[in-house]
Amino acid sequence: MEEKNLNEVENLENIEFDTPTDADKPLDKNIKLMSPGRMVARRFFRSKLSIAGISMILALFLFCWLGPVVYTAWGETETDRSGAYDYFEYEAKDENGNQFVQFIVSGYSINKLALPSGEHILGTDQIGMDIFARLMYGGRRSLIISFMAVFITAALGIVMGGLAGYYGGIVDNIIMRICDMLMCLPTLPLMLILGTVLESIGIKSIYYIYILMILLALFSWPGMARLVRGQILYLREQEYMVAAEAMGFSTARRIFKHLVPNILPQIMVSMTLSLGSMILYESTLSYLNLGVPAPYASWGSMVEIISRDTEILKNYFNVWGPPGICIIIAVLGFNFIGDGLRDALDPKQRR
Amino acid sequence: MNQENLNQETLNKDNLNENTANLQEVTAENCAELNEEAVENPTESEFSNFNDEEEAQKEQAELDKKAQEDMLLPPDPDAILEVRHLKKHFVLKKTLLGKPLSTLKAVDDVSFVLHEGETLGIVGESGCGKTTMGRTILKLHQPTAGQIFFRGQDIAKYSSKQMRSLRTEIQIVFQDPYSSLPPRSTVGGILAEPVRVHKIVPEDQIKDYVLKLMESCGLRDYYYERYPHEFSGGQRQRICIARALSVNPKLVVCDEPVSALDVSIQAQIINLLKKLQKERKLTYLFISHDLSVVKYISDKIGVMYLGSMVEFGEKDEIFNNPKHPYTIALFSAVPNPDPENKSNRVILSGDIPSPANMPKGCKFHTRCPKAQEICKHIAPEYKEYSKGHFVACHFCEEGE
Amino acid sequence: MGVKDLLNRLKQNKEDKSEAKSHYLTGKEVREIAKANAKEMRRLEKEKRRKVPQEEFMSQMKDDNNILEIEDLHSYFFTDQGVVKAVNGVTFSIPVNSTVGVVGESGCGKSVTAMSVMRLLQGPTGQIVSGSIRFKAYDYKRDQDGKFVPIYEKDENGEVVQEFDPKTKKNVPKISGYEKVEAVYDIAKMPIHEMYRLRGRQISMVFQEPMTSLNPVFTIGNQLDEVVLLHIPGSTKESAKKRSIEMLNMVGIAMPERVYASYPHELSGGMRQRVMIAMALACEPRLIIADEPTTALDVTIQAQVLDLFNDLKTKINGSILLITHDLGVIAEMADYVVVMYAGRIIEQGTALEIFRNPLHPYTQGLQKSKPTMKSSSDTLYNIPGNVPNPINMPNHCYFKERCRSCIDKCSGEYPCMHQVSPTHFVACHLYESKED
Repeated sequence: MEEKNLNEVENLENIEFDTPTDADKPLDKNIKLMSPGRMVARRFFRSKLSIAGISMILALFLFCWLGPVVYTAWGETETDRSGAYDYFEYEAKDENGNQFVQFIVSGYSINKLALPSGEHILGTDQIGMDIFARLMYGGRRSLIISFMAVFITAALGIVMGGLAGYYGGIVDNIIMRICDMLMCLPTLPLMLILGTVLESIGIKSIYYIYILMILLALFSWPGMARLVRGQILYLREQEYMVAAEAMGFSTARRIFKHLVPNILPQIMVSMTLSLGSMILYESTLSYLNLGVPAPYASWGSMVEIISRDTEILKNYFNVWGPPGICIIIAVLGFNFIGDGLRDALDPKQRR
Repeated sequence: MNQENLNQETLNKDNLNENTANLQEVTAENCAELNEEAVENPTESEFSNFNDEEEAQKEQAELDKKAQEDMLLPPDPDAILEVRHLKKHFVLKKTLLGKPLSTLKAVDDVSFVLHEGETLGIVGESGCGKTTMGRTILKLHQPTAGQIFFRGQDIAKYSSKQMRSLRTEIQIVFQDPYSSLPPRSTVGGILAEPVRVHKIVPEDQIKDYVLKLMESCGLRDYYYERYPHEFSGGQRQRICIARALSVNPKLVVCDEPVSALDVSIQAQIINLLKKLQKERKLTYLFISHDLSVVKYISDKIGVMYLGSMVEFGEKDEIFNNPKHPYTIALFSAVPNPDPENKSNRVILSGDIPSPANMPKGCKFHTRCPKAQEICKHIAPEYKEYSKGHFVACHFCEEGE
Repeated sequence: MGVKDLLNRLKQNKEDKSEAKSHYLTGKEVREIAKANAKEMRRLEKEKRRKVPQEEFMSQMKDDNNILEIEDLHSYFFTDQGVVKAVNGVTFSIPVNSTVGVVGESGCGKSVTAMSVMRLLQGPTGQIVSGSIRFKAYDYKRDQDGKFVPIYEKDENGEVVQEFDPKTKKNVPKISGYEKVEAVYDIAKMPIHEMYRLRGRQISMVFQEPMTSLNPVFTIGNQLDEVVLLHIPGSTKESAKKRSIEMLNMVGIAMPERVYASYPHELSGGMRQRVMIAMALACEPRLIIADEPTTALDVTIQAQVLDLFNDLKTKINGSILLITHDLGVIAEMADYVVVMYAGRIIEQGTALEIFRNPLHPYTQGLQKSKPTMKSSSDTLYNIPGNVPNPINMPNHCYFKERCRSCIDKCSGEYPCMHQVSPTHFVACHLYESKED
């Protein structure tokens, strides 16, 4: 090859064309760069907050999924009946006129509102269920529900935003106007109404929350769609997309091989950030009694009790405090991760 | 804007009100010039009753007629690319019913012929429509009017599906080597994809083919697994060139391929392009704002101003005997790296008017040092001054 | 048998992969770099925050004819991939009332030098590590109370002119200016809050991108007035406006009142660059740093701006540090030229010396590879290879790999500057023998 190059040089009147020579090899080899994956990881872990976020979320997941395997003493809906019976005394006389005391049991033998002890790590609630166990089962439900809602939102948003951004024109107009309309709707009152409607149709109350969250996802995709559309509009103008068109690649190839991988980071960031808000939504709905019905647990419905019983709000922090803290940890954790991801994947920081 | 109008009220008010709207800047010289004129020619006898609107319509009708006649002619059989009366207008504003209110005439009636193995250099400042023209020839923009013959086929009317098979024949190299490579593929992936899609070589030979291509473009084989962000601008531009050549095109549109690069790298890329042209018998359409760069690579040169070609001809002819005042000004504006021999410049006053609101008459008259009253009203014809040397100026014959 | 094959193939695959990835840093290396960087950055940031007494950054010029002396300046960037020595021991000076051009390719450290002079390096990654930047500054004299000492305007008879002050309703002496003293500061050691006295007032900067260096929400007048009000003591709104319009006039803007009232987006690129220049000149700075002032402009507009600069050179009482990659621009403008490569100066001298008698192979190559209008040849000379990445530079001449006139000595130590003529210096082993 070297010889051929030399000939060429002579042929072309001694112009020295730049052919790789061994001379600059050492300098080139000298430089070590960071691999792309490591660069992302480095940027992500540079911020202490994203490390905190990751550990918070990991801890929550371990707690919710591994916890019940280890802590088998109590189940989700298992009531502790070891407590004292509720009774009241009743003085009565028999036919003979002998007085005696009658004990009438007026409640179950429930160990309710127990304080934290060896038996119940976090005590029991007003119907004698173990708070620690319910925290784990409730966490599972809350997390699953919010993940589900986020994935539905993202899927809808990507498809609609992708269509709008790529095709433009009338398609774009229609989709964006639908978005505008959906964004006008007040979500919470609508949920309340829908909750009542569901009840009147006679759907089992355990499914309420799933249906409501799916509906919520149906209402909240416009945000994602706008993000995706904006990204696509931006990327479509990038020269490498024009180059792909000039290469004669088909539309499908351009969208799926060139566009989608480049908007994934933004989508991931947005999804992580909306996970937090979905958990809050789930809690809100549960708090408004539209969520998971008793005796099933979710973090939101576990907090709900304080709206009905001020005594518990005042004196029994162990009943409503832990689920509240779990909600805070989950929301904070997801937001921290989202922020970290944004810093790590932001293409503007490249180069 | 009001003050400006007041200053020039002495002038032919009707015509100037519209023209001044285009002038974003009126510098001292320009202003003085205008005032002088106003003193010398308080009334323009020849053009005082000149109705621009009407004349422009007549002119346009004539031009359209001529264009229609031209379009019936058969394409030049020797040419690899022949462009006739190419227009690309972008609609900026529409009425509610979709009727265009204002259009941006990015490319306005450009014609030229390019033969196989030649290089045509297109020179012009930013906003003159050279990039849009390059992309329109590739059908990345749908042309508004005109014909584009590629080897005798009018591709202006091709559908995007028909174009797809022609993509292997015409390729493009972009200006910015940073944004024109997909950030998430390796160099090997970028180069292999078009080969695979267009089935240039069988699947099992793709890697060898790509490595050979990389070598001919001055890229090392171990770059195959690397990502574009690991490279400097010059190497990225080599990757871009390799990508364009991976489908064995006949015509390559180079859209400012060296503008974003350092001087020493510019020379490498230009020499690489020349080497590849010799090896592969390529035809280039080389777009640049830098005259001195175009000089080294072109056989023919076209100078563009505000969407139209103002001068076109063989390289030597253009360099030795430039006719259009804009070309002359462009030549003298290039800084000369010689501290003793500071060039005597023709410094153009003012800025390029916006192509959305073009001056009437000759497009260059707002900045032209030779401008006369006729230039403000009548657009000069783009005609052959000597063989193969086209100029669009009223004064090019007298300019001798 | 099959299993063994499979294992072998897996091993082979892994080796192939590690071969391909060998240019990446390993996790261990990354951690080491990060640790070293963090330590160094913490030290430098601490140094920056330290309270520095005035005496420590007062200095003396080596040559009294100079306005700026940069000596052995090292500015580093502590990146994740290693320490980028963007400016690696740069020494040059700017004489009073002259234009010094710094030329080099991207990544050669020319902009970082300018940023170091302005102390605009973005911390904590970008730091001036060592060296000194001595700047001869005018400063307003202060009396014991820390107030400026006024100079009263006098009429022909030497009597102080009285002026009616509407606030106190009394006649007060008219102030024409304030007394100034000359002081030499070492910018590299100056605390940042002291820098505010120099930036904009005594050293001002014109940036490359005229489209983004003006604030889009304020009018040109607002932005110009602000500079004047901030830096010229005793200026009022009226005097500031007068001064701004005067400045706009000076940079060749025909209708300064109109431009004064317009917003940046209403102006073209060339006009904006003129406004930027006007802004830089507003406080009569002693040094103007122009960082690629014409790169983003069209050729015909560039010609206008260069013409303006050449015109201003005679009008203003200050020096210009011109940074550009374009040899043509340098030749038009500069009196002295400094050629930089990979963070170091490789050649410096007067413009004539550099353009007529370039000595360093890089300077020669740069000039030959610049396409010019005048040359008749059809082919371009080129320097092979790429601008090196300034991480982990070897301790021999940085240009060695791209150089065509290498000698054995080039593998040795980095060449030091050799004086060829009173003003001409070059850092190349080729010229050593002549001295010895």
